[in-house]
Amino acid sequence: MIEFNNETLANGVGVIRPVGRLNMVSAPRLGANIDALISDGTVRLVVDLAGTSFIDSSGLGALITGLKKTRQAGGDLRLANPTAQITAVLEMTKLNKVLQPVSSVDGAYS
Amino acid sequence: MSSRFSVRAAAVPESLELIHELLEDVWKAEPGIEFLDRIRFETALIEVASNIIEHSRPAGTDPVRFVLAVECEPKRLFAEFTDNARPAGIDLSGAELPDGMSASGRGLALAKVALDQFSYAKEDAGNRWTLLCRRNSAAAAQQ
Repeated sequence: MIEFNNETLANGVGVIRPVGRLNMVSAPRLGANIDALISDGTVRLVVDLAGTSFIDSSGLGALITGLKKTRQAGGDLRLANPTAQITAVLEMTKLNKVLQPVSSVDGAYS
Repeated sequence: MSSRFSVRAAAVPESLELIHELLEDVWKAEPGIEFLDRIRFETALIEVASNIIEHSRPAGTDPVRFVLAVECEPKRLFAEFTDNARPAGIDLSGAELPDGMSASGRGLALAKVALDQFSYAKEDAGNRWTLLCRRNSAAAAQQ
């Protein structure tokens, strides 16, 4: 099960907070959340992973798709607060070089 | 000394939760397993299960089901998936990580990177995957 607690900050950055596991069941919902924000004109996004206990290759795929879509729209997608499993998976897949997580939402666009 | 755990499940996305729950039981029963080893093992098991769920086709009229058996030993974590699906004939040597901006094609490659040994065998009546993770990977990495 997963929940998304999203908000838009005063500086216009959209924050997506998936709470639970990102896998083949929930990854499409992450993609839908990203798409909805881009459709609303919010193209600078942060995915706050503090509450995301697990990610698999489907979740990584949704993040990469979101990264490409936000960049095509003139924005970006950044990661904040990855948990231990996510940090390990980003390293194992070498996606830490592409997605470069930071330790706080505030630091994502500063 | 070793401990064994198993689960039998339908090859449907909801069964992923059963695997997480099984591993929770393993971690509780074997509290000495390093966190990094748990991460590597769980990540690989979920990728293999997802592959079975997403790509398996029934061999006959029976829906696809799989059995996951996990064995925990002092120096290694071992898992075996067997299923009743149409034999798939997967070549794991071709499972390589794709380009960084690729949105797909990482599943089995990620399992391969996470594990110390990973094999697939086509059987007469299904498929068999074996996964092995040597324990104490964090200590080994520091040496």
